[in-house]
Amino acid sequence: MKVTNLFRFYRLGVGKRGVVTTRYPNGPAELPAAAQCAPELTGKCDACGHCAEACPTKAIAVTTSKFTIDLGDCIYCGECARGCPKGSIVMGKNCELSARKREGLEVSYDVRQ
Amino acid sequence: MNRMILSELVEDLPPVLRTGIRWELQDDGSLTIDVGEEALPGIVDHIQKKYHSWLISEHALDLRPKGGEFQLIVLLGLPKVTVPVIIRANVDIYASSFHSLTPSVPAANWFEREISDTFGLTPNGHPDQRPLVLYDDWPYGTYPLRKDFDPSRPVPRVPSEYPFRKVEGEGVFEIPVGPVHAGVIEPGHFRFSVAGEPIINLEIRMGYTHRGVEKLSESLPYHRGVPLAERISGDNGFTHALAYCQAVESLAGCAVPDRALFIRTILSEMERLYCHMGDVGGIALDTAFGTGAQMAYILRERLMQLNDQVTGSRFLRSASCLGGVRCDIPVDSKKDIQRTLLQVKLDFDDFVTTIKNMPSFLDRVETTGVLTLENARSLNVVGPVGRGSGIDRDVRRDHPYAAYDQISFQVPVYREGDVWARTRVKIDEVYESIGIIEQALDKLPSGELCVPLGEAPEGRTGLSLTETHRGECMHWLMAGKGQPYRHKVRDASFLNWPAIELAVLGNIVPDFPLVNKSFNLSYAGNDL
Amino acid sequence: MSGSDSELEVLGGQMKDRIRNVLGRSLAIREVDAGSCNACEVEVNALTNPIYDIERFGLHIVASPRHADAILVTGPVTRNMERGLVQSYNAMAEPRMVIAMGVCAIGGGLFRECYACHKGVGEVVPVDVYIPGCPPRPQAIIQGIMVALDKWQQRK
Repeated sequence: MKVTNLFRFYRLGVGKRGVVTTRYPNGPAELPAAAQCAPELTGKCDACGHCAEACPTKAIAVTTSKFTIDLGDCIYCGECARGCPKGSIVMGKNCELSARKREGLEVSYDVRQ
Repeated sequence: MNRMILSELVEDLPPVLRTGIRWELQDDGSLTIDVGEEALPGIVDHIQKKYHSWLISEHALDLRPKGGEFQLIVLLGLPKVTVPVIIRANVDIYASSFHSLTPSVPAANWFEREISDTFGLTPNGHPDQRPLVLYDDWPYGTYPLRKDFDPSRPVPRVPSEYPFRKVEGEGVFEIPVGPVHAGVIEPGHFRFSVAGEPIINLEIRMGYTHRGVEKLSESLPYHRGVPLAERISGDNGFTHALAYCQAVESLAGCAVPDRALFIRTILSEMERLYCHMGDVGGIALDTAFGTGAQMAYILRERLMQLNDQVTGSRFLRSASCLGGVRCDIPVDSKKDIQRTLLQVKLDFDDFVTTIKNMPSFLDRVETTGVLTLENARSLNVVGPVGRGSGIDRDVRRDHPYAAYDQISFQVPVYREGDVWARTRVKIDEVYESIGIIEQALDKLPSGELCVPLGEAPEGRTGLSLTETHRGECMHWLMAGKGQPYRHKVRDASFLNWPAIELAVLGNIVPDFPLVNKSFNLSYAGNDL
Repeated sequence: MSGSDSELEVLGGQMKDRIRNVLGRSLAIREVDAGSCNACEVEVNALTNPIYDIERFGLHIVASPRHADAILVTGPVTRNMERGLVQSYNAMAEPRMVIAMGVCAIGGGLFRECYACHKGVGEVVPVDVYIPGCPPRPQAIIQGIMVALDKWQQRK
């Protein structure tokens, strides 16, 4: 008795959702607008080192010529972006960051003052 | 109300137990009793029998650098009282042992084994003296939570073997499972003794994911503890972080702005929603009802994407901070949340109707893995598991935090104690959570998101309870110099794991995954 | 709906062909939790839901390291799970691959200074591919698996 009920559900289209599958990896990764991935240096940097201090996993190293972030240590918490007095660090949208070498996860930017 | 009951409690202690104790009612209404270590079991037993109290936590603390001794802290919850009773007892440095509570309070079992592992204090009279969180090859005499332990020095391995309980008899054999399981779950070892199909004994061995969270937290400044708390147990990270933030805020006496309180409520419920969705889907999957499971998983994914949209993280990470919240809920997000929840509610209705009309599903879940009320009470089982066995307790209602005191909601309770009862509790809670979010969004006040924390005076203690989707989660802090002197975390899983050993008895081995899924406990939160 | 449906199948087919070229038929992955906080497990489970559905490419999450071509390791490798991880690695048949998933597995992350943890999977078994993130999004995991496939193709 109950089994027929169940079939009726399916016949009525209950539980039918159309295609929900994402196109990834054949299309771009569709992330929501607010999604936070790895931080990126987009603007000016005067190597003040606030970001490196704010980082809970010590993923950022700043010298007078280079800003290096080790994505292998970055937990995407956004402390560096909040800590930057110039607002030059933004949380990026790119999540395709895998690498075959540990060093491949290090991203460097030239420091522009 | 609190004061009346608590002062009565002390007056009521029989004269034998009352000698030599000191007690004090704190400003927040909580009661602190200082007792001698040998009187502790008697007093706890008395309060338990007379007031039906339950054990929130039992943990130790190393006060030797401050010129003291070891201290045991027992936290008891009382019905109709919103603050816990705190009982403190000093433990002599040289004796390094104390009288065990376990013979009279079974829930203290794992707490005392943990104390014995991490502090080297022996619980005298404890029926089970085997290690719990540290593995068998941990060297004798090295206790990580003592203050003289240096975490940077590598600890040598000592070959030894863990003595499992033996069940012997004709036709009895053992099935070891884990720590690497067949499904994508965390590591833990289960050893079944079976005679034919029914399980006659189950032994759970935890500790595989012991990372040393408590010790690490003691070396981090307060604001750094928040990302750590989020990673104690990944899928209830927000509620753990919230518990930690509340504990630190109570140390510093910081008043969190109203808007932040409401956003905290909304985010905790969003977390509960996606976790419960995964749980009920998992139960459908374990009864081999794949279609239904995928319906729930689609909803879960939609809720996680909603999290992403609102906070920028699928797990609501870095949304909490000390003194408030990081992320705001502007009008756009509010509309997103309302729209998504409406769809989720309709689709979830479909899912619930489907499984409730499915005889083969109900046949598997009804009367499977029964946890009786008596067992649940004695082990102080919390959360949906407890509510499925008839324990009517919910931190959100009994010890309101965030903005829960301004919101009306029901606490679903079922008495059967089987897998189906636990599933129904979760299903009902999904609807309640949606209701809570809708109410909180409507009432969302304007104002600040975050206020400065202020100074946390050294030596003060702070306690905070929150309700994760697994149940009551506790963070207890003692303030040090800008960082915690002692940080005790107790996830709901720590209390609920031993209950699985009782719930599976007499069930067949293929039902174990189902029972385990209906409890859905965290291994990482248990081992820390 | 039907148009995008068939398109999806064609594109999915390309990925499937690539897996077939590299591995013969399909790629079997075993997930080993070496002390993660269970967020990574949630994301690996999400891979098999209808949204990400990696099984359509012939990527399978299998039940035992003996069935696996690659292990996906999460967590900083706790002292207590070290043996379990090494045994899982040894149980795999050659050619095998280790994918370190999440910040804990790559370098220890927040748990670098803990007494009970290693500093990532690399200290215990050799790692071939690193997937950053805490936890990595499902898309990031799929991309990591594709990077692993490239590596295999080169090896061949």
